[in-house]
Amino acid sequence: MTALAAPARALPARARNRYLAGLLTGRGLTGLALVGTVALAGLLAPLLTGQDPDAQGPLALAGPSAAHPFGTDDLGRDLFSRVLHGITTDLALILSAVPVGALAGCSLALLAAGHRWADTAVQRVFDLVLAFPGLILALAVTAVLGPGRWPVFIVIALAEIPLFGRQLRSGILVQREREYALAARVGGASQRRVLLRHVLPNAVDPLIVQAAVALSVGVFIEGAMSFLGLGVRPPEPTLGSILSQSVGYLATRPTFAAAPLAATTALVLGFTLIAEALNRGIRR
Amino acid sequence: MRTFLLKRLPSALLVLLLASFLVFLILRLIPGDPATSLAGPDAGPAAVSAIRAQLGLDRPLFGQYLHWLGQLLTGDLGPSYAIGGQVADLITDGLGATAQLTAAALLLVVLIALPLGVLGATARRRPVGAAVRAFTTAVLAVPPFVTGVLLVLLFAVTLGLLPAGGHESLLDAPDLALQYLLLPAVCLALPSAAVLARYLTDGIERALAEDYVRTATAVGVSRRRIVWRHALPNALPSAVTVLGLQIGHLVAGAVLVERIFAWPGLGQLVEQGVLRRDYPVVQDLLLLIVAVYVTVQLLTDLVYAWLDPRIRWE
Amino acid sequence: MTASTPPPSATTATAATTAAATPAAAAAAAAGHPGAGAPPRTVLKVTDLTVGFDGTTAVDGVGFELAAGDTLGLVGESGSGKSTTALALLRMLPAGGRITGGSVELDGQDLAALPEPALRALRGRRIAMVFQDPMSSLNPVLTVGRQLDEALRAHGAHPDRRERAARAVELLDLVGIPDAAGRLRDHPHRFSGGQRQRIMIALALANDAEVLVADEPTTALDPTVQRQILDLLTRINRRTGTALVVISHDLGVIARTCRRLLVMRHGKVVESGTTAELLGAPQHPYTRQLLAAVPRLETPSGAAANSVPGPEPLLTVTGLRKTYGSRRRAVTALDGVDLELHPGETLGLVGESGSGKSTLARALVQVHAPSGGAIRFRGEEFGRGGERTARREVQLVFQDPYSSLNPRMTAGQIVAEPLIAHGLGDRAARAKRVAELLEQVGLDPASADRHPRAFSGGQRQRIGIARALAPEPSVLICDEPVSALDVSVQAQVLDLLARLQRDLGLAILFIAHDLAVVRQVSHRIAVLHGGRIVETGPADRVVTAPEHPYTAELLAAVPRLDPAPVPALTSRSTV
Repeated sequence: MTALAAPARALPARARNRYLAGLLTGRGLTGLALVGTVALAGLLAPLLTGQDPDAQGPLALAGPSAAHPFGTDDLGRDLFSRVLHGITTDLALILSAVPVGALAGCSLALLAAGHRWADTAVQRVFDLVLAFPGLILALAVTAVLGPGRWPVFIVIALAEIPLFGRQLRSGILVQREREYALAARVGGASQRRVLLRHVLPNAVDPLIVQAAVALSVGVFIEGAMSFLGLGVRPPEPTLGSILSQSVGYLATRPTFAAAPLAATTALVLGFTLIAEALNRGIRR
Repeated sequence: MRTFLLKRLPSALLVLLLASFLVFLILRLIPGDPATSLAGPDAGPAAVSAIRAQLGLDRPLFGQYLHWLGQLLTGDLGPSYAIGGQVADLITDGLGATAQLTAAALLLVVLIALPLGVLGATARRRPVGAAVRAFTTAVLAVPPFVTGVLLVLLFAVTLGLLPAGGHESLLDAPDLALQYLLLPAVCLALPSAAVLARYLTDGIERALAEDYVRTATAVGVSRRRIVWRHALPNALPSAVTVLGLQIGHLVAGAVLVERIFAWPGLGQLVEQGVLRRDYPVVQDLLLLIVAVYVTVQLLTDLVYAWLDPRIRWE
Repeated sequence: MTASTPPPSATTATAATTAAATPAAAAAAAAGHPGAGAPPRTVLKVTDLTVGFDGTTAVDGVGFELAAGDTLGLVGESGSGKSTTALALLRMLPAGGRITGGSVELDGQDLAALPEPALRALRGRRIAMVFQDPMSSLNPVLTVGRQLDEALRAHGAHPDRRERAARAVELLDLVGIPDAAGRLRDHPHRFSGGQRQRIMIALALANDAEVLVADEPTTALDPTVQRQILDLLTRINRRTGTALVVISHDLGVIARTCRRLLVMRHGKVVESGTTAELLGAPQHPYTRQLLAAVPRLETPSGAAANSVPGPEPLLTVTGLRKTYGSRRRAVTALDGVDLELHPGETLGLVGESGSGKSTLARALVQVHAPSGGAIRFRGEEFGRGGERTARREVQLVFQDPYSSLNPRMTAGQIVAEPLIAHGLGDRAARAKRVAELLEQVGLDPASADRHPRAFSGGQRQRIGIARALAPEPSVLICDEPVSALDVSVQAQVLDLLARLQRDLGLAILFIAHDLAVVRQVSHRIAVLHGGRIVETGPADRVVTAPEHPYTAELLAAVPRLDPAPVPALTSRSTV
């Protein structure tokens, strides 16, 4: 019991600083640079290229040249423009779907914290969604809606719900038993106030990491759905659709796959590195 | 163990039942009438309603659902709409190949993840540890379908060591069958193995920081033995939970891998079913996958309780 | 990582302490062991030991000698470097820590300079260690038999598995685990805290080590269990001749087990000598200060001088019951408790873990509902209006000043929380009240915007007290409020509570396991055992003339500072 009285460390205890400290490591900065570069390239697509990503040209499967820095695809479309616009489509989809899924999952977890029966119900909902792993969920949703942009959005959001929800639920369960939460209750705070003001801020740390992981999962889901022909409808470019087109020509025209593969990998790797950096920052 | 099962079983069955209802309902939401599309564009209303009656689509929705549940319980799944043949036959045809693929992948996941996970934790500051980390990060950062294609390029096209795709019966030609199996199984296993290795590394690292490791060190147990006999057993329970979730991903990933390697399994069937709107095939397959998932979760819980003595007594 | 060189004064100080310790040891050894002839050989010799942690010096030039079969205590408050010294003896410092100077010679072999594999071969075989927390120090997924087997095979003494199993049974038997053979296949969670500490000792003894280092071996245990474990250590020292190094914050623990004593502060040895000398005639001011701060059981209650309790009870508890768990496997935590607390009174509630004292505290602050019985506040029963006034007027002070403060909030926010919850005052009024409260508990109001991490343990406990005072309570429930604090800090917090009672007329329910502290602060004492109050009475009477045998047992277990039973120095033998 005496060991509890360790010397007080005069550290600034701001949680934000811990995230920042995590991000400002080599790992975190590399991740930020990767994601930043790819995202910037996508955002600046209209400035960087004047070419219409869907315009077909006479030159099919050409290698890189001055006119087409990344070459052209099997229909003679400019790959540089397609990849840049593909990044925009991907990021728009993922950055809208992941927050929606995260919000839904977290809301359910908070709901579950209220009553025992709500907890049971919410847990069964999470179980149910998890019982349709990734692509199977994609197949089920596409079976109803047909291929397109919305199914991709829905699948990504749905897949994230139980991941965020379970994470937050277990965090709340742990934090709620801590003495400071008890102290807040004894001090007269309502159940709602204890949950939102005391428990929640201490339970969100793992969610920040989860968010970075979720973004990379989003990139994968989009790609896999495009590969199976369940994704965003052609001719609109996405990283996944360009990649899946290029797969047929990997042996003969490896440059076709290079740019979309590099962009996808950079995004996923970047998000993964950011997640790891945040995780280490939190644990410190 | 029996009480444990009795406690878990009801919620597992409930999830299964809910899933069956959900699957049934989702497929009824599909715009358009399967009978119309089956009958073809030239068929008259009489022909269409004949088909409806034949398929049982004229019955009330809940009656259809009960009828389907009855079919599931008797094992007589009825005919498929669009693909042709009995659904039960279609499923049994593909089941063997898919089971073979996922089982092989599962084995590989464990065989790859265990040493990588341990190395990741014990060799953190050495080049080996850095290499392990780089490998798992790379595997996780490249989409699995690209990994698959790269594997084909390397081992089939460039080196000519293994076939690029196809399938051979394990009974007729075991050596050939294994050659066909290897690439798809590796491709399917790699992402899950990387995830599991990460969790193992994390779990072992955490266990190594615990007080009981300090105790083992103080009595003179060697570092190697501490890792394998003291830390690993503490990391295993949560790793098993992760493995359970990954089995779900293996089943789902099989759809993708079967496409890449022309593997004649259920993945192709479910893809066909979705694109051609074959209700019975899709709903039976989706439910089968859910059933597999639920069973795996139940097994995972059992193994967890077996590995962690603190759970067993509660 | 920089190797910090000890300041020049440290080296001379070390030389002095080593010199002082050695002749004393030799003389005492000769006196305690008249028939031994030659003086006992020195088994452990620590010279000028310096340990650095990422640039800061945690242990600064510590030196001592330990004769075979001798007992040595290291005492000090948190941050004194005593535990780091213990870990440095086996070179098992946590990450970031490094021995930067000096030597640890075990039979002439310098452990500080030995390569890791050679050191591993010595750990557990020649020098072994017992740790503080028996809950986390045993591997939860391995059976006790397996863990003993691991310890035995680590040094290859018994190649045969059955032989090792037989030895494991022998060891468990030695440390007093009943039915040793039958319990080899049990996991640690099947044993009580005291039994787990016994198993830890068995692990350490597995290979007949000559030196046993025990780092706070009884800190996490109840007084009666603590006594048993200390007796066990003494018995082992006598029977096997294993030399003991006991590290503790509690002078009473050391006085009970050790013949010689080192007092540490800020990483240095401030004084050393035989326990009898040091406790009888301390030389160094710090030792004197430390001794003065230790609450003594003999000190009469100071509560009457502090305040006079009112005649009408403020809080009345009658027949309170609480059961947990399902109906089939119900655990009774409270089994019909009757209590009365008067205004301005301090009622000491004494009990060991599992006695139901925390359950009672939580029922009083309405964290959980009792299963039976009644609680009345100002004459009104809980559930019939009494609970509403009580929610504001009955407040709780927690044991652990680390986990009971929200790490995300500042001290000011933490203290303001009850004000917000009870809707007391607007923002400006709250800020004023927070400053007032912080001042009242002896904290600088300017530190309100700092997070708990920036405060020391004692300061944190003051924040917890300020929070409890915020809604102007009339009753303060203090659940082990000082047991996590160093003795000197403990005294300050007790003074604060007494002052608050005097100024505010508070009624205090003081829950603790330490009878000396309880006697000092209480008007009356109630003894809780197995969910029932077995004895209640005026504080001095309960301590001097206990009526219930359990109270007497508790009193007997309190470690005294009079070092009466000096353990004899014994020659070594194997079990």
